[in-house]
Amino acid sequence: MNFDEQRHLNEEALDEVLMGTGSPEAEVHVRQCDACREKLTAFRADVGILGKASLAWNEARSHSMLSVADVRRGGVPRPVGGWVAAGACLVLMVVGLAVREQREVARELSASRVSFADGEGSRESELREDNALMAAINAETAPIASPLANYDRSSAVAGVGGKKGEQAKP
Amino acid sequence: MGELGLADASPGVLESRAGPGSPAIRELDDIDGLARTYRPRLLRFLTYSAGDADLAETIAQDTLLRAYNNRTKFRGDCSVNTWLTGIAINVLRDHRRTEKFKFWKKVQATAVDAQEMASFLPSDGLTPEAVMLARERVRHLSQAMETLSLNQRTVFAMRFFEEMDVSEISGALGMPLNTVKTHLQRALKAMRKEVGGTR
Repeated sequence: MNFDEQRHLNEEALDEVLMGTGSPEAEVHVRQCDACREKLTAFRADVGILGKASLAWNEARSHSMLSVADVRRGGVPRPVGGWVAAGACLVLMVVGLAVREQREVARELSASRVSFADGEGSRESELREDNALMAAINAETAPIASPLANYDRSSAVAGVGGKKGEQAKP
Repeated sequence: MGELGLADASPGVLESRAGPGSPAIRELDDIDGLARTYRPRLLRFLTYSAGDADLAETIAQDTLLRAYNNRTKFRGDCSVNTWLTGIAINVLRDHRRTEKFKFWKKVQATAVDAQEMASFLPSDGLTPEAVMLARERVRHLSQAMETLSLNQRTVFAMRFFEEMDVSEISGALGMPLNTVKTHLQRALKAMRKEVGGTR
């Protein structure tokens, strides 16, 4: 059943040897028959180079794929994810600093406005105080009517005939 | 599952016995190392089995994740590669059940570029002429693989690339042993016919 007319293994028997399910009789024959062994060796060699080429091709594909750990974490490659995170931190820092600086400038401006307003207020109060002081000084330093002047005026009125009340006005 | 006939495969079919701290368990604990070691082989198997290079990438990633998440279930009565192949078959089966897959299958299928794949064959110290001939052979064999059904391609890849024996294939696929043999025989016949016989 396993042999053809030339006493070599038939195709079915060769298949079984290749599948690893050959009969003991077929296995013995292969060890003894160069022609049958050569057929099997040639086929295995062909399949071998196909396997080698496809493995090399798939190794190249495997290198270009995401690492499984990254896929597990959600698909972002670790180095890219790291750089993105670092970039985001940098942007946040820059934006934060800019906002902080802007707030400080605004605070300074508002502070200067308050002090200017305070200055105006104080200046008005100072002016009021100054005016009050000046009024008090003026009041204090106002010329006092001299008794002599009254005398002169009354004498002038009496003797010279000057108009009464002209000199009496301060 | 339909075409692949994996309906009987259960996720635990390849669960095996490996004690805590065994080399296999330590290997499974390092997800990146696992991918480095096994992803090319998984991709090769899945590219043939799925018949779509892009889909193979998705399934390979899902397989490695599922293996990592279920690493405590690995009991060491088969190789890590065989265990991963079994998981890959289940992930692929699950994926094929989805409507999304059916839709994408209609609009796109990224077939293997035989010419490109052949160009990756290492020269291994061969003369330029020998490399050229070998690459031509690879191109021809790759095209021959495309003529196989998905079932035939899957069992062929498991037997000749993953070096699994027919009983392991039967267990991983949840397919009767005789069915595996039939698919394998048909695949061998077609491949031999395409490449000019067993020579």
